[in-house]
Amino acid sequence: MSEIVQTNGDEVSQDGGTLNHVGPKAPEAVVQPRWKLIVVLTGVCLVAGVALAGGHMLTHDRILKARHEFKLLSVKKVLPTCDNDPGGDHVEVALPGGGTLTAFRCRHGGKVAAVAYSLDSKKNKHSPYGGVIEVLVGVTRKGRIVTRKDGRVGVLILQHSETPGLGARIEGKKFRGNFMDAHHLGRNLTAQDMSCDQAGHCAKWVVRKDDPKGFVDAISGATISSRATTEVVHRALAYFNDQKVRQALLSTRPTASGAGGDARSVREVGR
Amino acid sequence: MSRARDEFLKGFWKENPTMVLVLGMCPTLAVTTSAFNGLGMGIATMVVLVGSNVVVSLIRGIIPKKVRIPAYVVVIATFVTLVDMSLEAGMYNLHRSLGLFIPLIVVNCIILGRAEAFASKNSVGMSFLDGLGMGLGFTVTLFVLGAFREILGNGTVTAFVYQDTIVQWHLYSGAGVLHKTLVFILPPGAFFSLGIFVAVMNVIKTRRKRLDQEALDKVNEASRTAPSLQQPA
Repeated sequence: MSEIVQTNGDEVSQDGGTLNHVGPKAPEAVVQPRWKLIVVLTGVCLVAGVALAGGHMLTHDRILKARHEFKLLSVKKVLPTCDNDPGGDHVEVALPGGGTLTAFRCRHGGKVAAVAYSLDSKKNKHSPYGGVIEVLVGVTRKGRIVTRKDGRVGVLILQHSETPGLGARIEGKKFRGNFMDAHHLGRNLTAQDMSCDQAGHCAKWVVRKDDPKGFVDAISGATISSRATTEVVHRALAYFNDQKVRQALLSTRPTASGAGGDARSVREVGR
Repeated sequence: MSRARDEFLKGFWKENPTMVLVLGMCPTLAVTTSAFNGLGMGIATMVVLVGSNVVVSLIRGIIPKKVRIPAYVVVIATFVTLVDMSLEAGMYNLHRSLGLFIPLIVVNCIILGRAEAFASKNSVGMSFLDGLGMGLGFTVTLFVLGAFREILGNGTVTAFVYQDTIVQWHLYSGAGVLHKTLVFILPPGAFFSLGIFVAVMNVIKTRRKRLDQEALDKVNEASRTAPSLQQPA
């Protein structure tokens, strides 16, 4: 018994030894009083807090601006070539489930040829692996995902927190290519929802791993991220099939200016 | 001067954080699915490592040893957040491709390890060099490991990815003799690859040690027989 106690005691003193070894070679007598520990640590945290607050103040506006600019840039990437600047031509659309959508319009001779809007996974049935996935879609006036002349698909991931190298591959061309020309039949979302291509071949809006009739090839090792992204794109297209929303999206009314204008356009939609 | 060089160079081989110290396994194993991911994680870690090393070295005199770990963690977390914010404000495109790695840096024990083992005992200049060397060593290792896994698992080397802009070399298509081995990109492949790397490194190290020993023996042998010849001269 006494031997065990002895070894334990030794171990403790060895640990203490390694701890002491790090700091300046201070004998026991110079052990800091407890209040000093509190003061120093509080001081460090205060300085860190001030540094973070300062950093936030310096960067916040620029971050918001960069995000907005990025969105405007992305809008052009999911739309075909337009006569106008889609970044400067947007409309607020009220959604049936509450909330609004900001849609950027691509016009061909005044008529709206395609719209771009983003939707996130917050109201998803299938959640992403972490955080929120926000997807920007370009939709033609016939309700199909845009295919651009350069072969790019009208789907971009604006924001996500999936695992690098696995779920993050939803950003890749190959996965987004699944949605090329995708289309949604019917007004509501059901598990049986189909997407039919122009030749009339139909497939389900699910990842193929869940149902062999699905048309989405999930990323290996990232089925959860693939499912969540598929659902966001599907929901985005289903909005387009809502009669009121579609009319509002395709209306040729010019961009409302200022906050008051935005509110008015929302009311007009509800009429 | 030679000490400064040693502190800088030790991170590449002699005290390589991943292969020799075996620190920071979480980012090493999880992130190296492609060469680009390894590079991104490595660079972001290096920036934080240099910053935290310098600050920890600056405040090393005023931190009581009992609260040093919480103090270092606060410094590191602050640095990670500041890097994250300034990157998003200044280089939004880069932030979009690296953004996911940055919060992971807080839990990387290389940074706390260097703060504790080096920066808290050495001058600011040496701590800076130590951080830079360790960070670069980490970056190189992650890049090579990522490239290795990507080549075997996907037949490609990806140097840069941002939405539709991809700088990538396709080495083989996966048909014929050279077949893609997907497992190398999946989690088990991370362990296999790291194991192979550590083994190769150990083989080289052992051989080098033996050669050094033989050379030393030869010199000793020579000096034992030589004196009779040298002394008269």
